[in-house]
Amino acid sequence: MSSSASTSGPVISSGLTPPPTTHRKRSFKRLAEPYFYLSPALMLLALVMILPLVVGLSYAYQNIELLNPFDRGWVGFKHFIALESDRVFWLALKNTFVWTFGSLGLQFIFGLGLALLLNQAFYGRKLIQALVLLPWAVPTFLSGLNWAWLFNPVISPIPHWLAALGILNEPYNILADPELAIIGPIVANVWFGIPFFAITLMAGLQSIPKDLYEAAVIDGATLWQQFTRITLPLLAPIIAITLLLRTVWIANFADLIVVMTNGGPANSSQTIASYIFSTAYKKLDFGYASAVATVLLLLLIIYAALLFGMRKKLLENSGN
Amino acid sequence: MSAVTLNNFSKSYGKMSVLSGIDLTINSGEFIALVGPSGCGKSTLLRMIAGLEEITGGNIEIGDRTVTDLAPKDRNIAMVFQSYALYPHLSVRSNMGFSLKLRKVATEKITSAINSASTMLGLDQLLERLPKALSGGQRQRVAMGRAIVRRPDVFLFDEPLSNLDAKLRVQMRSEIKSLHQDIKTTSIYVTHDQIEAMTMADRIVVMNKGNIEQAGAPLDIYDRPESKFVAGFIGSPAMNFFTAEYKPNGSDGFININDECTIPLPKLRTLQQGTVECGIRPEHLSLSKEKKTGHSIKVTVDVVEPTGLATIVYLSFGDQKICFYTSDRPDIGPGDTVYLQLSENKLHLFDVNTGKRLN
Repeated sequence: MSSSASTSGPVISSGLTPPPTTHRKRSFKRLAEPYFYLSPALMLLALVMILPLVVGLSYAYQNIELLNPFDRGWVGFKHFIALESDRVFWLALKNTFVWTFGSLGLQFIFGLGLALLLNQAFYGRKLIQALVLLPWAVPTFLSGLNWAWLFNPVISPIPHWLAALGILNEPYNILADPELAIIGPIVANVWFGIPFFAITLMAGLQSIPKDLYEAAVIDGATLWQQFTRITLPLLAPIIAITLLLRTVWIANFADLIVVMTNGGPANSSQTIASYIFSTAYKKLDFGYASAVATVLLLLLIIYAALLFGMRKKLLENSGN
Repeated sequence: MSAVTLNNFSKSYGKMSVLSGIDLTINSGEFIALVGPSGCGKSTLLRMIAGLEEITGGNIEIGDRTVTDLAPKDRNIAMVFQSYALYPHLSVRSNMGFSLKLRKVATEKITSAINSASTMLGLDQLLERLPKALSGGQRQRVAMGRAIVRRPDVFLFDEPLSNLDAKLRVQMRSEIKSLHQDIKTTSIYVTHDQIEAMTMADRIVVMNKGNIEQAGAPLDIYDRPESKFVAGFIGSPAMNFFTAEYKPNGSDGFININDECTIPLPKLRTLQQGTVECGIRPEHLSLSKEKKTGHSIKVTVDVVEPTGLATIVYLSFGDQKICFYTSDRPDIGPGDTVYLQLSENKLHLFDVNTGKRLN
């Protein structure tokens, strides 16, 4: 901070008025001032975010197994090399994509549909808007348990209905099927995540002036054309930012998987996030878990950079 | 170019009636202004003509078609909104071409329509810009351009100038008027600004509480308002009103404003005698320092407002306030006592109860 201030401060030299040293002092003060005001927040951030992040990242290059306390120390890239031949890691990576984009896509489509419905005027709309938020308010742990039971043919009619509709051969628990287990948490996650999209997109919809739709109606736009030519382009910036946020959240979101399938059967529904959780807290291998977490972090950073670039373009093209 | 005919046009929300039985014929190529205070139903009427608002009763014809049940896009109308309603994500060119593109008009035709409209409106340099990069007046022009490229039967304007500053408003006023003189499309223009209505329209329709109070040429309405409401609404500074006693006198009559002032008048159409509402425009008064013979009222000067072009003087006698307008620069100040003369042939008399014109 101080070095950048002393070298790159704006230098005003008139030759007549006070010597340059006072200028430099003043400009240093001026440059440092905002940082001074920000310092409480910056220190707090450093303490609770940056420090743990650095420590966590450093674990990826160490051996830290609680069950093997005497074999500690720096091991370089050993964990990353081990990742390459870790079958569960690659499966979890694949599952992470399915889980993230499966949940995200469905949440978005249903959320947008719901937002468009809730944006219409009808009797009792305020009440419905409040009710729609409920799934978001239920603790994920509870929703996870609920959905796990709903997929259990012993207590829930859902598997029987699915069998009756011919979707399942017989009423069984899909959470116990290695091929289908990941679908269970995705369904629960879609149910859980729709309100978020519905509410944010509805806020976006309400910010589009009604006049534009009236102008479009007079210009001859059908409902579908109004949606594709006005609603979507004007909603695009908010869609981009909510998609970005939700992707990161969902990719990091292990609760539902841990509660509903615990990554099983036989790791078949493991995502990177749940794999990190079970490696760290079940196998108690913090070093390896950190290495996996580092990979996830890198992937998310790349994704965020791509989406932010896209959003910037969208904002430039829209009127806002 | 098409005439617009409204037959018994009405609108109600539940039990609340907003417009009741409007009958109006707008001739082909005519520029008509709907004017009235806020809440009088003028915007609702315009939106019903556009098809944006459901019609509760009656029907509407544009040209020789009955369009009552047609969607806005099938009525062949174009509308300019108060907020302009430009599509913020589209360039000026795309904004103007939007409707033609939706109608799948050939690209070359769209381009030539946009180019001729933009030349007419002086938008040639701005075609590739987004609306956010335009000034208020330019946005206004784009909104008009968007309406023009359609070559509609009718233009609808919904208070298009009220978001502009005063100077620009005057400029755009004459631009819209000259544009109408060029392309002669039937235009319906809603405004709450009576000066806009007076200056632009071929015919003014004054509305109040969901009814048409009076329709006529601007100067006819100004000179012979059919009701006290129209008299008070049209004209700035507004007409002065005061009550007086009307009494018959042989074949004629006279009014008594106060003990000193009696004004002879021809016989009224409907009233034998009684209290009447007198109206007189501020420019139909004159002031003198000495009492003149005939009908002078002794008044006190409250406020003098010189505007340069004219002087507006606020006067009072008793608890009655009077506004006086002159293009002279009278040598008077607050507190002075002067005498006010009324031109008797410029007096408007209205019924105290119904507000209808009596003379």
